[in-house]
Amino acid sequence: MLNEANLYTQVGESVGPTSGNVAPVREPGGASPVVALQGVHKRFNDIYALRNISITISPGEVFGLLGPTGSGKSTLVKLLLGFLQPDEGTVSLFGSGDVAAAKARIGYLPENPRYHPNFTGRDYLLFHARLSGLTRAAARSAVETAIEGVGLGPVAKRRIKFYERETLLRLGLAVATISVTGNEPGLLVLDEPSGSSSRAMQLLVRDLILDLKRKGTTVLIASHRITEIERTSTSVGILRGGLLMAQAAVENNPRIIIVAAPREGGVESYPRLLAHLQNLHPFVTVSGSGDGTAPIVVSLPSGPHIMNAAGIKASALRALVDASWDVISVYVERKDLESIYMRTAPPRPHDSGAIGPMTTGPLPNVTAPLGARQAGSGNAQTGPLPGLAQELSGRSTHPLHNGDAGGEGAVMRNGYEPIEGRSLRREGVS
Amino acid sequence: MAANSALRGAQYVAPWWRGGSVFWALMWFILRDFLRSPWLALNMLSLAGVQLFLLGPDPSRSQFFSVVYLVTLLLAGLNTMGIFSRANSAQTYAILARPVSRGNYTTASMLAAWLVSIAGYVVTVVLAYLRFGPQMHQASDPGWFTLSTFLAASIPIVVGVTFAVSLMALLSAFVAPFFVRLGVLAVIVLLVMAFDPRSFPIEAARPLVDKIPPLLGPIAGALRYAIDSPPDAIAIASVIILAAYTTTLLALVLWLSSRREVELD
Repeated sequence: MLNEANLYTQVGESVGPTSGNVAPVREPGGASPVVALQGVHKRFNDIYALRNISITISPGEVFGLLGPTGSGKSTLVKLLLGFLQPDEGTVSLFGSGDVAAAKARIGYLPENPRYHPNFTGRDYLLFHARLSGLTRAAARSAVETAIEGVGLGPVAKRRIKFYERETLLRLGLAVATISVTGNEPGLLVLDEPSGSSSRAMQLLVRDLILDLKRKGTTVLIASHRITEIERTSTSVGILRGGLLMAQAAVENNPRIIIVAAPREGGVESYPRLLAHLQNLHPFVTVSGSGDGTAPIVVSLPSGPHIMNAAGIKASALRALVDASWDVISVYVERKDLESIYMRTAPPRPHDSGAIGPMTTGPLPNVTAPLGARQAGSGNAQTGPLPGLAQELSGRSTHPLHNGDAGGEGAVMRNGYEPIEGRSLRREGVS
Repeated sequence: MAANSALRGAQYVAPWWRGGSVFWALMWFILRDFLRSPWLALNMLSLAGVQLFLLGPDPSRSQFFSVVYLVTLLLAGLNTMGIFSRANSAQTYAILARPVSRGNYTTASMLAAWLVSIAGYVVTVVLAYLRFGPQMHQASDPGWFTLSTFLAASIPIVVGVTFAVSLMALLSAFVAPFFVRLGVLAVIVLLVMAFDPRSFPIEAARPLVDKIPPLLGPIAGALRYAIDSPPDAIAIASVIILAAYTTTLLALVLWLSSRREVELD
């Protein structure tokens, strides 16, 4: 798990396609990762579906694979399950390159699950339990547990062809989980698990994932729904056009943001002010003006895990006033997944998120600072302070900015699937 | 943390038998799925049609085995087509996500199709025996309706069914890519037309087509092994060649199937 500083490094400074040569993000305790993809390329004819993907998922982690339709999520899932073979790179599961052998410990819920309609739910689950290597008696027991876990009991004796959509999803979840809760936790792969299901089903999926997480099962969720991933995942990878745009931990610790501008005498005191602010706490960041002539954005750590957060805020405000800087705005920002997503893979006009054409040249600049990279263009901009400009312009509820460039309306207009009805979480403070 | 090392204990099938257990469960599942589909009705109607319309009272050996051979091979082809069409659908993804390779699935499907077809043959023989046995099998003249005759006649039928299953598996989208299937179909058409090149559409190529040996001949020739008593050299050679074709097709099916990525309809 990344700490807050690392999170900001990931989200704020390494936004862009991650390189296959980059070392795995985390390997806690030296345990073999459950999933390890290194430099994976996959193309269909001359179209790249995945480019240079490197992902590491540790045991017990819930990893969300987020991206718009056509970004390569399902292709990546099929690579993990051995349905497809990578053109370049390696896929390893449970520390072994033998994907076929690892499949006994993998549960899979496909997008739009379809199962053999002439079997009853119980029969079908029993078959899957047997395929997982369980004895007949153990399979029966596992089936009953799975049926109970997803609430399939009343219809388990009915043929699958009579199942409604949501019942089919319940069966899919039971099929997927039947092999991952044995004596050694396995890997659960869910491809768009909620689909267009009801709120109750979404809650069922969430609770199931959280329950499996408690039991130590590793979960990979591929979805285009931010909320679905945010509610359950401990880390996230954002895919777009076959590129892994970012990989980061999901943490919702709030930060206090102070926007300030210099008044007379403020420029001269800026170096001293900067030093003071950075000494307040290791997680304090200051962005914006390089020489103190333009507004700055001070980001302070907050939340229950930060000792004396209120004191840090008061000290920062006092330092700004003492250094002849006007405090324009103070607000709480939550670095939620939506903001990460909108930074790394914002919607593009006239783009359905389809797989991009094969490129023969080097991969796009991967180290461009946040905001410097044009949305999905693959080219880095090098103009002055683009990060701050985008930082401000992308906030629909910013007290100084009422634009909706990054808001939900923009998402809808750009032809993207709506990101469930919610706005960027921001709370003004006095 | 080896992938499979954790799967030990009383709740798991012993490692030495796990592969066999999975294959058996899979084959049995495919068989049950097929038998619960409308394809079962097609088989039953075909078998009833054979009894009602194709086998008259007191059939001769050549008449009986000709009808049974033709119908059994046709049903084997149809059954294989049915099973593989069911395999090539999205519902198979969930199964292939288990420790089941595409090659395993293909093998299990072929075995299921083979078993259904052979079962059809056995049912036909039993029904024929029940219908005609008492009249044909008299103490003074046991006739041709004897166990030894059926055992011998079963050899070309079993080989023929395996050939039909392998060929139809090769022609299925689940096993072979489009251009392989197209190529196989083109070869079959060419070989069939080679029997009478006068109908070949490209006139200039007719002399070449005429030179193609009757490679499909053994399919019909194998029937003589069931009809003739004792079978002549041509009948024996036909069965051997048909078995060789079958082995080649089987190997091709398994090779293609195990190499393909899984992209189902």
